[in-house]
Amino acid sequence: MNESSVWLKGSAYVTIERYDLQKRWIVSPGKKRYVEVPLTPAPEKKINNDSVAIQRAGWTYAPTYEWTVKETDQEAVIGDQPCMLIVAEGDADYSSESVELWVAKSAPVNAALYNERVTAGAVDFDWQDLLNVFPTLKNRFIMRFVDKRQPPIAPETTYETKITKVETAAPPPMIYEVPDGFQRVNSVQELSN
Amino acid sequence: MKTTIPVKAAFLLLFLALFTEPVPAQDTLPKYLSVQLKQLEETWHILDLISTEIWPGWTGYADLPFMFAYPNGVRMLVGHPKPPEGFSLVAGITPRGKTVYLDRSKEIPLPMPLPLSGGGGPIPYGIADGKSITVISINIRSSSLAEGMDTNRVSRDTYSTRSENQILIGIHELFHCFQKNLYQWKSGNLRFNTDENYATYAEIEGLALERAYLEANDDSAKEYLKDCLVAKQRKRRSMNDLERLQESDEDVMEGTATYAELMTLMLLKSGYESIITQNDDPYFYSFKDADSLAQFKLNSLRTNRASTLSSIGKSYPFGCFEAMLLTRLSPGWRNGFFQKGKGLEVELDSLLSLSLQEREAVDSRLSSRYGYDTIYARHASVIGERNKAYETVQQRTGMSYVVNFKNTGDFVSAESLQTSYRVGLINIYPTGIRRVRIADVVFEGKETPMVIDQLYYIKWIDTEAKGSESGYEVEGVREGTTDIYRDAVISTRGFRLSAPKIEIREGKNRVKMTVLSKLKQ
Repeated sequence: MNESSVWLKGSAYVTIERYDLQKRWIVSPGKKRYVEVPLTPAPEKKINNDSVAIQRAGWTYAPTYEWTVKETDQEAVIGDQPCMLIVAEGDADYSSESVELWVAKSAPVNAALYNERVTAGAVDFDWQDLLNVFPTLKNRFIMRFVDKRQPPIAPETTYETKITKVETAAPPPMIYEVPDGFQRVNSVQELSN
Repeated sequence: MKTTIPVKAAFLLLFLALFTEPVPAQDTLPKYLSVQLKQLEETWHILDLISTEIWPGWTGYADLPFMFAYPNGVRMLVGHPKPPEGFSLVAGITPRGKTVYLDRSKEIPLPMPLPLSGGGGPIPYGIADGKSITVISINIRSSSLAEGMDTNRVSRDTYSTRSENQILIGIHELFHCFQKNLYQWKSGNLRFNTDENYATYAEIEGLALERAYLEANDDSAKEYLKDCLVAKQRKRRSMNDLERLQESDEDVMEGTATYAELMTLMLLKSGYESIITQNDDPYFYSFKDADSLAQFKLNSLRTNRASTLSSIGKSYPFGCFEAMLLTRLSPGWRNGFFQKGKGLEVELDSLLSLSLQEREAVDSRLSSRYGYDTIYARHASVIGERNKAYETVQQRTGMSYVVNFKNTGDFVSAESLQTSYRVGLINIYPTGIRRVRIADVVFEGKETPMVIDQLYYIKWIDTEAKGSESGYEVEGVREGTTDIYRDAVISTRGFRLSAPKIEIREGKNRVKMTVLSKLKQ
């Protein structure tokens, strides 16, 4: 990422976010196609009364977590960065979640910008909820997180994400542009069809 | 909060010595496991005899692995090509040449008296040669472990505890695997709470279906089927497009799997000899009274059609008896049915060829023919009570007490003080829960609204809770400074809970009690 752009590579697609243009391109290198969507989220849909009618009530459980976040004394080197451990515990009526956050003591990254543009969309737990309880997390660069979830009915799941290397360097040329010759399509579904 | 003296370790050792079953030698299994394998052998034997009569082209049933999970934590895997970690081979026991594996890593010393029963379905479990393996997963819920049940009184009249029923459940689940290779599931499971219109027309649909099934004359049976079809359309006016698709899929999937059960009972009436005996399984009666077992299926149609709040439950008997009637009135209907990807109602529509005018005529006769007003009044009363109960629990505010039974592996099943109502996954007990018992865990409720939600949790809101006052007391042995108690008895204004091991965590407006063990040790 740089001040105005982010480049993210997934297993099938590359996502380019251009904050200067307020655009996001999702690119399929395999199919040489891309789709363009606005960066600004669409306004929230109006509540559809039908979806809260008695016929549809009680089927979906959306937990409201009560979070406690604590710094610990534990330290470790993750990737190439000395880190310390922060533990967040979330509890709701019928589910719970525990997140270990290994944060770099001093990484050569604008952590606040990175968290706003990458972390918030990349983690499965509610990033904003954690910030509300522990605001200094906003400026911490997370090298590794382990997210353990105990859902209401299904067995416990664990997700782990680790950054192996952090470096500051000039980006490869044209990395924040859609490659020449790629066909624009109208939906993500069309990227793979 | 009070604490008592810890249980002496000697007691624990004595208990374990008396009640823990010995680990079997490599070539022996505890009775409950060997009976399960015998039932499985009989299931395969029956399908060898009749599978293609149940449905043309049904083969491959013996290739599917089974996994049984028991209340004592033991899991048994049969015929899996590459068992996941934790399973050990049982040497020398090979039903139908298949390998048997056991996972006893989470076993607790809970007795497993026969008869056992349970249900489940196909799930992906493990990978072999880079491909996900589908297994029939059966969770044994052990009806004989239910409180107060005298196992000496289990007889052939107790359908759910007969081994024939467990064999039929196996056939049902195996049929699901056959269907899924041919039929494209379009929409996922039905998630719908009934309303007055749905419940009323579902009952009319079910009444017409039963009359059609019992009617000896084919033309008269078709007339009843027309009523059934038009009532089904009326019923589905309560649903949105997705729910209509969901219900149609459920009728196909659950209906034809139940049809496979009923066809089994019909086909076993003559020329069948079992390969297992009551020496192998004392609750197996060789399907000698298949007719009375089939009667249970008809009773299921009657019970479900009259049940105001049942939606998905109706798909099993409704789809089953629609399929039975199609077999009688349109014998070739099964050929290519799943491949077409259409619902049973499409097949019935095609059989009956109703014109628009005839459809209207049928529609106008439903009310007088089936007593619409009486049926509507009955369902409207229940729906009204359910809605009131839902509103009541939604409006309660105060300190929440949540008892989490998930670690026990048992869904919470409660004795209600009066009526209970279901809304989605929420079971509402407007006047309270009398009692829940899971092994050594006992929950006794008072006369106050409670819910069981998400299958494993009881929630009660203390509306009289006052700021700093603790609304509960614990007696038990606290483990150091943790929140874990052994032999705990917890008292609140709404309930009393005793549990061998429990964790109590206090939040801002919630006390959460997680049962960690269901068995005294």
